[in-house]
Amino acid sequence: MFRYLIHRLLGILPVLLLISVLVFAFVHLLPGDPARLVAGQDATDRDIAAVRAALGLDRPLWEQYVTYVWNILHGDFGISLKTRRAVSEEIGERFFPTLWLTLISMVWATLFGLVIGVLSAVKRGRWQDHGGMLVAVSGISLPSFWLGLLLIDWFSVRLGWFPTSGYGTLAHFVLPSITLGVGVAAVMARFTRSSFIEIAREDYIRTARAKGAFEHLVVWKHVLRNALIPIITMVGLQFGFLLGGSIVVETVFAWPGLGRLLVDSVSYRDYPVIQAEILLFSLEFILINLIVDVLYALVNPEIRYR
Amino acid sequence: MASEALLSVRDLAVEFPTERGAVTVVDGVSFDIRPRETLAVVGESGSGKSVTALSIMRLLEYGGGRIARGNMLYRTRDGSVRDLVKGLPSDLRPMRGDEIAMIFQEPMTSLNPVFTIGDQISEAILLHQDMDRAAARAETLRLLEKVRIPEAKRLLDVHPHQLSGGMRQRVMIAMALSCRPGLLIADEPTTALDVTIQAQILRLMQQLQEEMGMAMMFITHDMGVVAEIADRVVVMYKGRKVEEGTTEEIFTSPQHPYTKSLLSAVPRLGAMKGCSLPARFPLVDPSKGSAASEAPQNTVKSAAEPLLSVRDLATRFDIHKGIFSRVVARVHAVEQVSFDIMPGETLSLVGESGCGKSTTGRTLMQLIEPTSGTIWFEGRDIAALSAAERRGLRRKIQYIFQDPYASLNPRLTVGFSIAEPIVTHGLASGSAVRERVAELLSLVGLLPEHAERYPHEFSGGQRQRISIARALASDPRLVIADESVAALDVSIRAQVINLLMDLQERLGVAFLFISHDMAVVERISHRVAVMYLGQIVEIGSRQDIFENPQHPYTRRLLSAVPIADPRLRSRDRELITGEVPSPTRRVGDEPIVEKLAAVSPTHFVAKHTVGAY
Amino acid sequence: MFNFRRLVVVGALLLSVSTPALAAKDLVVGVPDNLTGLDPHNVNDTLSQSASRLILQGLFGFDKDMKLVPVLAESYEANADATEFTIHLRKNVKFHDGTPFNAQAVKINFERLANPENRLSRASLVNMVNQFTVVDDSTIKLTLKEPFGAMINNLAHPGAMIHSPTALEKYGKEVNRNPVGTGPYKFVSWQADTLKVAKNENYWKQGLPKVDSVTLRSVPENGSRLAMLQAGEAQFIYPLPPEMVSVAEKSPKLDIISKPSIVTWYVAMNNLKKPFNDLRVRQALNYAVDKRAYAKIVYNGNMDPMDSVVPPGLPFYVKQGEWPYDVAKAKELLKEAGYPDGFETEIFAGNSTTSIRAMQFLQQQLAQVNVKVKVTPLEAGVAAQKIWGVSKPEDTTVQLYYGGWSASTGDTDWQLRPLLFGESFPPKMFNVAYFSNPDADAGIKAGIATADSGKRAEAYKKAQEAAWKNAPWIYLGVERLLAAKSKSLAGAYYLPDRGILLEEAELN
Repeated sequence: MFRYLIHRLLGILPVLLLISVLVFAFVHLLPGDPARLVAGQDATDRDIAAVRAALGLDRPLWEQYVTYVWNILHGDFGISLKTRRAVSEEIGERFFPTLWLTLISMVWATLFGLVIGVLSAVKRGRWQDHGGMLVAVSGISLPSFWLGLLLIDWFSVRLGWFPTSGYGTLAHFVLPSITLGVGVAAVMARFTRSSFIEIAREDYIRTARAKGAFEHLVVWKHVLRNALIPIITMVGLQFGFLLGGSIVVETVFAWPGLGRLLVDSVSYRDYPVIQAEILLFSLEFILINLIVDVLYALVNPEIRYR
Repeated sequence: MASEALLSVRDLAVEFPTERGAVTVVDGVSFDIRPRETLAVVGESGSGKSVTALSIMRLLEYGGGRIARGNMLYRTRDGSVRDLVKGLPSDLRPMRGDEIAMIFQEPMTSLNPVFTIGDQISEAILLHQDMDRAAARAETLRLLEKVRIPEAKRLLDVHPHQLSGGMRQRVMIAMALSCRPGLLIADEPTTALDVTIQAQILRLMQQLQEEMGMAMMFITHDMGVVAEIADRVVVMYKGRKVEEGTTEEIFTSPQHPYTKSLLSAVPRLGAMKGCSLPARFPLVDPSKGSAASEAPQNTVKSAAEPLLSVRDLATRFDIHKGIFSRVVARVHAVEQVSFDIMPGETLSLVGESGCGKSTTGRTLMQLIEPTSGTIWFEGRDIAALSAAERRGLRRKIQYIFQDPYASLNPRLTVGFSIAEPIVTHGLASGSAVRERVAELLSLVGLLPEHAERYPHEFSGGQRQRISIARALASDPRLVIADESVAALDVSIRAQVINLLMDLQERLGVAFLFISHDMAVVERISHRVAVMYLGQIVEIGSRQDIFENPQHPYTRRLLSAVPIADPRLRSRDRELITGEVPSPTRRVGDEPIVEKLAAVSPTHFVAKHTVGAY
Repeated sequence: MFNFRRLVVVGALLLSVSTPALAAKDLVVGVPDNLTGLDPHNVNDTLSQSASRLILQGLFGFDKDMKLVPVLAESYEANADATEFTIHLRKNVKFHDGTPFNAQAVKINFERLANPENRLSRASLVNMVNQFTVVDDSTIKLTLKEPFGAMINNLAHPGAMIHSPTALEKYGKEVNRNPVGTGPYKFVSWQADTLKVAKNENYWKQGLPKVDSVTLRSVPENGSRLAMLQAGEAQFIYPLPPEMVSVAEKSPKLDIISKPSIVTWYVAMNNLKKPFNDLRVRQALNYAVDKRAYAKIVYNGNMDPMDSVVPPGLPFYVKQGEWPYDVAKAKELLKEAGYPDGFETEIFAGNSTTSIRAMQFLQQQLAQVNVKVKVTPLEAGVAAQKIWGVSKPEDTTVQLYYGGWSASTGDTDWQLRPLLFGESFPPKMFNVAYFSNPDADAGIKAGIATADSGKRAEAYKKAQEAAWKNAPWIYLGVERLLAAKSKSLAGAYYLPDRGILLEEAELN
């Protein structure tokens, strides 16, 4: 297991290097002159040239890339073209708001989705199932933009229970995490249900009943433990997506997170920030994959012994 | 309830609700099981035998079924009588695993993959007995030893996927017996196992039954197994009990036409003693009860050149491991195999799972590249053929798979599936294709209008007929039939085998018949090759192999086959203990392969050591 | 389920703890974007400029009506040809860090700004100055390389505000995140999307400021921003999207601010390209568009028709008269120009929903005179390349360009010179109409060559007349600005250039 981990961790490095090349190439292939955007709408030609020189955008591409990688290896992701701050600071400031929001949303959504999914599967074809799946389908089809505004209108403007937007106290987490989590919970519920129904048909579940296991034991031990195997992958996948920062939720709730930073930086052609963010997202995905694989091995003995 | 009965089932009816109303699958079934007795319930798929068993456990409801009427009185350990039909399925929970236990057909899927063997057996103990974990674990170990599992201690902390099917079935038995139930229901417990393992498990069950003094309800479709194990027999057909009696009665004087037809379809090992040629099953029509003829199959053109010659064929698979994908081991699936098939001949490859018989077939079909060796077909080395000639070859060698469903595209009409090889190989065009499809369908006993239907509209036997029609469409000289009748019910199986023999007679086609079922092989083959660990250990005419087996493995294989004759039950049998060995070997650890020694001009046997048996 | 309920309860408790703090005189403003920096010498967006204006001040500035007023200056004199400006500074003013404000401080700031090595984006505001001379502690003299009549306007631009020289010394470039000025509020913190400033107790204007702190919070979503105001978490929000006016109007606690801006919207026609090189075609297209319908459909009526190339909010504006909507006349003119059956063309604009809606509206309008318009929204980067980055006029693919402009210096020069001056074709500046007219050019040149208001007025009058009648644009309208505020807030102003002024803000 330990060697496997080391092996996997070493394997990440070339992937990251490849991603850095792709990201660098991709960003520089986008149309538009960043110097012009940085200099502002009413800047003159001379201003733009000054900006271009200041940012090193006038040097050859390969040189820009080599400098870039060299700096990354030293923990320097460059200076944001827009705010002229260190990119590491820009991202550092927004990473945790997104991380906490993602964690809180994932935790409640996964638990909630799991419970709804299991109940629907157990009460398959009955009203609990139809009700649960109706909620799930609505959850998937609700645009989070609309839901977010609806929640703000009800719980902030009318009832005054939670702040409308922003980041700070725990109260600030409630509405965004609901908005963000609803879709995940719905996907989890549906996924859990189908995974659960599939496992419930397995012969070994019949075996569990045949030995006289209590029904709750059958459901929560025998079925769920097996159903968890695909669910873990799903959670990892969802987690990875959310960690990128939900653009819509962060915009609606004025959440100072990575999603908004990405939108801002893309529309501003803020190359260093875009590059660092994509690099970060890739790293997150790779790490989550690793964690999922480890968890997978923990719940699935067939992988553990391979 | 009859005073001596342990379980008394009366007028049991079971239905499954569907969108088109309830379908009755068990209708008015009554029988008794007495203490310590083994009752066999026989019937084909869909006869309602498994549903009856699930009803007794009240596991039926979890699969969507419903008991429509009847009662099932059960005498519990403390002597009180309880109607199992009364109450909710969950009310029966305390009895399940304690008073009545059950084991299932598929040992590979019947154990929960994420828990250890020890945990799964202990769970059953903890559920019904007042024991702490440590005591339950000690009891589990005792049970594993009781079902003759070697290294039982190590097995406690092992997960199911690390065990073979036979081992898993032993674990299932250990679990079922953990609370010393009064009744053990065994639903086809040996069907998925290799024949030598089946013999071991049957023997084990009989021993344990005697030891523990429990009754057994043994569900099977295999009359051989029935003859081997049952005291009494209930025959089920289409949801009803059609006959009941002692095993002797059923085998010697069956009353119901269905029972007669069932018995007529059962291949009995040794039934062909003294015949030099294969012969069709003397099938009894279940509605009439009259038998068909048992004509010998004289189709081999022995003076001709061999149709297929295989010399020193070897197929190995490398197993890679580690960061650099080093080859750490090899599966020696096929090792230095040589044989001939004459035009119009049926050669059977027999052996247990993993012996390399299917790999041989797939290699001949060019689905797998051989590691070494040569294959001549119609006198030409197929390795030297051009691409176009290889295509032609594929027309002349056809394959029939075990699962006909898998080889037919569910979205295409069967007519289309059958026409495909005709069109691909340019054998006909236009309306001639349609005519050829119609002709093929009638050849395999179907109607021309069936061409318009889809595979799901047919039964398993009909689907296998369709795949045979498809295989014959390109006018092949050789058909490789890989376990093609294994999944079929007994009577259907016999019909399909008779069909294959009819076709051989009419078309002169040769068969390479790959099977683990010795009794079927005895009926259909002109010659037989026994494979073990990738090698042919014995090859000869059907009579050579069945009446004069030379190799110890051949003998053990034959002795393990349950014989559908209760009179032979007490015969002294050499039982193979242990597992079927693995053909996987470390790199450098090459198996010993030597030429076979001649016993007679037609009969050859390996004299060197091939693994342990 | 249980956890979730607890979270709600905990959240509600936390909120109830934090509510009393809001009851102090803390002004919260909801703004649409993130700040880009607090060094006005080096920022380009109005929002960041407004934010730095809380902390820093210039020698001159604009009042709530965009009228130029002295701030840290008391008065100035200029020579006749606008090459020498002597500015008298306010005395007894101190920066937040205690450093005295004086001529030396001004010189340090302007020299920093003008120095090309510093590569500050607002260098052009003062780089025509040859020399900054400290005459005495409260007098500074600017000697220019060439006449520049809009000098004082340039100095009133937020880009020419004054940092504490001590802070410049101490923080260098990082002054961007540590601004120290003379303004009504002191910098407290700026994190991600929130800027906090606190009352400057020693502010040189007596009795100001009247609130304890100001917080600018960036809330990009319009609905959330309005919700914030409705929930009492903010007292001022901008902009208010026109479609939300009716919602805001219903609340008795809110005021809606609607006032003319200096933002003009127009379609620039490429005057060098056929068919737009023909004046009759340009006139015809102006007749073909119903500007009132445009204001209604695209801006929910929050727009006034344009009646000069200069909006009424800028100095030296002279009304030229409205261009009537007259389809028959438009058709006639097109016929005269040789296009009786119309022609096909393409329009570019940004890819915001408003821009797309505007282009589609124009497409329908022009279809009435058989001009078939292909609508092409461009993403900002693509626009920079396709429109503003083309180095030769003959290479451009622009036929029609829909856009808006706001003269950030608050002076007519910055309305006319970048957009309609013959030497301002892209990529140098933004004359995407490729309009070049000797009369207009002469007026624009003369206007910048003097600081004399009378002469400048005369020059810009000519320029406006020449431009208007030559119709380089389809004149659409001058946007009205919309914002909303709590009734409890007074003294907060939304400026015509979309900036905000919070010096006199007061909460009751």
